[in-house]
Amino acid sequence: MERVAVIGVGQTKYSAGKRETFHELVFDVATKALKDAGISVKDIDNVVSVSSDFWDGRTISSMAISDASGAFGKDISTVEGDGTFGVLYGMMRILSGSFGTTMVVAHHKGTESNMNGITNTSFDPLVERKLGLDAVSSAALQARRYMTTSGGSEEQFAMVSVKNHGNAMNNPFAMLPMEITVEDVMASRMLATPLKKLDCSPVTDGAAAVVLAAERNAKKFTTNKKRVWLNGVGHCSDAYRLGDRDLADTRALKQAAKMAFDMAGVTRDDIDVAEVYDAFSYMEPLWLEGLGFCEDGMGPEMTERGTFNMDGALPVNPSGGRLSANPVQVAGLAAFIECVLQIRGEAGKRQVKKAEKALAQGINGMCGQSHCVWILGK
Amino acid sequence: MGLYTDKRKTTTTPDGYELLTHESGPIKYEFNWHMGPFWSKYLAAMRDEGKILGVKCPECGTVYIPPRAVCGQCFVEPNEWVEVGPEGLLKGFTVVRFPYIDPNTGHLMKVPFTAVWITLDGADTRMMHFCNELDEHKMRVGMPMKAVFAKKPRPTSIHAVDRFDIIPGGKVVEELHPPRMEVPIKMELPTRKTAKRKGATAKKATKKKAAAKKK
Amino acid sequence: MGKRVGIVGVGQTHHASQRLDCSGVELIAEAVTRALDDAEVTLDDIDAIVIGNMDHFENINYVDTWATDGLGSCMKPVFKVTTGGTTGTTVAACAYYHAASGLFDTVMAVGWEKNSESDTQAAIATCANPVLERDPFAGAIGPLATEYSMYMEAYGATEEDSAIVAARDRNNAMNNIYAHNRMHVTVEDVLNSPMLSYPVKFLDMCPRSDGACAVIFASEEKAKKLVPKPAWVHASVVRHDYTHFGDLAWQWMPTLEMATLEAYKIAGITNPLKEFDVAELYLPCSTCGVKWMDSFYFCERGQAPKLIRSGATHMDGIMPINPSGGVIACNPIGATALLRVGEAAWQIMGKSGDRQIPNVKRTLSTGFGGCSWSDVMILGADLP
Repeated sequence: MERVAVIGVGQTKYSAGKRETFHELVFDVATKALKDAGISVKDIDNVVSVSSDFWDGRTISSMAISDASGAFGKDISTVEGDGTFGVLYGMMRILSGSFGTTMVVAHHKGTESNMNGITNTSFDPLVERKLGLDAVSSAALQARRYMTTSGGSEEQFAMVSVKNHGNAMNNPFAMLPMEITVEDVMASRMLATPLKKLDCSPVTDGAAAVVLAAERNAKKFTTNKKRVWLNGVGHCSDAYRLGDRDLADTRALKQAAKMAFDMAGVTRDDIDVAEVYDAFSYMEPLWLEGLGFCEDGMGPEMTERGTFNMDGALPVNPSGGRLSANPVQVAGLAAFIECVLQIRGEAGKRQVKKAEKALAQGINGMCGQSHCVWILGK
Repeated sequence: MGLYTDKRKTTTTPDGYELLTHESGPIKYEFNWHMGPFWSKYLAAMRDEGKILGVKCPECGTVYIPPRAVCGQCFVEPNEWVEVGPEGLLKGFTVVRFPYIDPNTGHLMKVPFTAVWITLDGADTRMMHFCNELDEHKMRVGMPMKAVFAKKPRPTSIHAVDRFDIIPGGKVVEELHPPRMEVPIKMELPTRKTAKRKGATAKKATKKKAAAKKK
Repeated sequence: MGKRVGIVGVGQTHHASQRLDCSGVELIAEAVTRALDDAEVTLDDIDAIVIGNMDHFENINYVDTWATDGLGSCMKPVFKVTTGGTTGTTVAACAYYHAASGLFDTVMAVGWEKNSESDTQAAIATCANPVLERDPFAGAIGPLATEYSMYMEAYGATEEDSAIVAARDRNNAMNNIYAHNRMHVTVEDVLNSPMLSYPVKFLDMCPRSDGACAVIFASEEKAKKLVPKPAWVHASVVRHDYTHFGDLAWQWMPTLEMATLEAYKIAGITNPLKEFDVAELYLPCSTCGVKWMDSFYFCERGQAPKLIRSGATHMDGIMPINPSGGVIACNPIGATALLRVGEAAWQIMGKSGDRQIPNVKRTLSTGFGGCSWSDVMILGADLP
């Protein structure tokens, strides 16, 4: 199978209350990604955009950014979900032989609307929506379940928040770089027990883009230094209703991870850095278990031991993670881009030494129902 | 019930319970859409100066209404602001007679109303707006129209232009239709005879057989 | 190079104005179970799923994770693709790329909509820019009606020409047990029906429906094992240009012309009217069934009325259009474009029942939506 590489990336600084419109954000990151790849829009032959009609407040949200993504006169499609799924589709289009260079671009402006109301609409209108469930309250249920099964404590989850906000101090793109302590997290406003404000990701605006290229094009367009290969990918969804599954059982993530690792032909020990979807602090250790980086139930303890700190055995979320910036559809793509920068050695002060293989994870749906796992490498 | 049973007319569950419909009632989603530098200037110029502004792409020269940050064809930012109109030509219209819910208010749209698409003098794309003429037979594509601005204070929206009026006695301008580019496709209009599929009428008998087989 | 891919099974629901008898998930299940039956496979054989619909019609966020029970997607790879009215064909294209990439062998594409659950025109109106275009947009009908006014002016087409198309598609639907609207109509009936938005009248326009469709794609080796006659994908092309409605030159349809030219080039078509045995086209309004004929390169610009009146596109013509009744007879928006692909596939597989055209070798299916967007998929009985 011909290999596919990422040859260009671009992202905005993630922040709240951005005054640019959707198409201005997308034009900005698409241009940045093209420049990073050293190519022009003419070298792109298809586009995958990622957006959400709900968050944008308009049906056919992709229409607003069609021209701005460089799609004029080209094949374009739209994935509604996390950016990592968009990259998967972009890669499949290249592997099919129909295209050689794909632009994948995602945008999200969470601050233009009401996050609680919009995430409430993910729940079944007949039965669950009336309970007033949204992203935070459903995550709180999952956090409680995870504490029961793993014995993890709120303090251990708080350590994730401290670590990630601290990591963000070295990421110029992050929205919330902060030097905080476990006490700060524990004292922050309780939103839905056991989740406090500093356990939760912020509502963010931003956009990001990557350029994927088939091997022959990657070699034509860029130097070895800029090329990062897509070694493996997997995606999988679990059951829908919160009560239909054990919220602390990461079986769908395990299956997605298995697909990715099998395809890449590497083991967990080969991964040098990981960007996981920490929309809430407890999610980081939970997903790390599902990804196979520690045994089930050991996530919180290994977090406390410092295994996933920047100076630990496996640095996790050097970018600051989703806790430091969570522009929903863009978030997984941002994680993916961080992995690219790490492998290229372009991560500045947050560079993990000798990062040769990296893992990025994105999720769709509430409580991590559906996952997409990427393994990238030199 | 079989896999292919037509259930469209059922009104109860298989064991006799009434089938229910859950009505949500009106749902409100509020958004604060930022207009960005291009649309903010566009709306402000209409509101404060009574001008309609477009932007021109430095590469292809297309003048866009509404202005925007990127010329799709060239993938560059149009950087030259150009005043267009207030007169232009009617490029298309429709008199809407069916009421539907206005997503801005949640109430039914007032009908009939006439939506018009105008190419303003100096612009290359069309502006969507309204016209008070409700008789479609009095409208003709190509007729000159003029933007009529609202009385001050004008709103910060496209309603800063109140409507487009037909210019009385104006000459209809026929659209130029450039020939289509050469393509490697053969196009032959069939005659009444060559339009029929060979053996088409004879197939009616076998159609009945096929119907019997279909699940 | 990627793999060649064929369609091995199609399932659709009985479409209706309101499917009061089932919820959205059950509607999806109806189409999915029928598609699995048609291909004679089980859920275990499905390696990945892609689903599409337009969010605002049912007000459900993250439909790919919501529809799990209906799709059978628990513990399976699934994601959502949505592109407005073109959703059905972009979902089909996505499933095609899944299989062609070599990563998945058997992939199910599902399109669905329960339009009865909301006000369709209001939801569609939100696709236009909320500040600059939403007010004069007039739902889906507005631009289509406006576009035909231009074609009438430019080439002398009439309301009667579009009425012939409306009568053709609606009468064709009498052969389709799944269609939503099945009625005998004459050209006079259409001309006398109430005016919705000049020049589009009630019987010219598509309905909004509840319905779902599932189409199963398989890579070459798998497809050959599963069914004797897969419908092979010869070309899939999408053009979604334009961001504002006023950007288009509406006298012709640039995206359709670009998409069809590219698809014809890939599939080796040089005389579409002669080489296609059947066309299932996304014609949301009978006026499109006149105007767009030029942009399909079935005839020269302005010649569409003559083409329609020749009878070439009727059921006994050389290239029947919409034997299923098309969009005018049935329109569950997220599924509509996928139904064009599914119906065309059945024509090749010989499974079209009363609406079967004999000896179908090549078909053309299209999707339409958004800001005059066009998708094209060409299927063939032989391997490409």
